[in-house]
Amino acid sequence: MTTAEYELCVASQLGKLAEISDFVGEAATRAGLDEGQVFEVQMATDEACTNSMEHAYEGREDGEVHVCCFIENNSFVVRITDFGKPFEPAEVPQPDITLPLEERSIGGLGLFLIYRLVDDVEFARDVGGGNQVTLRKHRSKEE
Amino acid sequence: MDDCREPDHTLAPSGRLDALTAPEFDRQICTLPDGATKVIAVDLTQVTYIASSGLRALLVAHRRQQQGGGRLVVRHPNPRVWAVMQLCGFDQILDVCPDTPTTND
Repeated sequence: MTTAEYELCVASQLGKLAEISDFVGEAATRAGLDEGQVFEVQMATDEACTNSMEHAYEGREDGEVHVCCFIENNSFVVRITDFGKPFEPAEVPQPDITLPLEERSIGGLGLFLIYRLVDDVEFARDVGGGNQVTLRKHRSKEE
Repeated sequence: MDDCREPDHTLAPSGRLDALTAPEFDRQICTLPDGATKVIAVDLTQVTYIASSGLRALLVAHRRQQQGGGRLVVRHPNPRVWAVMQLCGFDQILDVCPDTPTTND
């Protein structure tokens, strides 16, 4: 299949998050997602890339984060790859958003948002030894 | 609404409140005088995007204020920022004053 594929490779620096967001926003818009869907994919990507930079690379800024966007089975897909230490999503506690703010755990909010903002999330170890997160957003107009 | 009274301090971050900028926002809140600050207002008028890091900073600030007997008030989140806050349940707990005028209005 020959659908357009967009790829961005940036250093693992938090200062690159805005650039990644613009890149994904443009690819998602070209793929026909509406404004709200574009924002949701941008935000889920932002959280996944933040995880890569802060946890997989533990703040090291000399790593690489690859962001690849493409269309598959009528879904807009964003695949984020890093080459940092393994990330285990199961080890991150899910926040209970029904708890009063005073009792909430501080962590886990990013992962919670990722799951809420896109239709499908897949975590895998990349063959190159890093982490691969695949986010899928269905290209339907009604949700 | 009582929470909308004149704050002792107002912070007005701008642009993206993400993993890059949230630590600086956190530092700004930490440098406010302890104890004497009863009401801290965070004016989000100029904030275009809030990530989980920004939400965490608000959560930490809220807790710090509560422990010191003060309050944290959030003002003017844009619709997108507000939607994210709602998604995470922050609308149920944080004091939000959407209609309070600011100097930027």
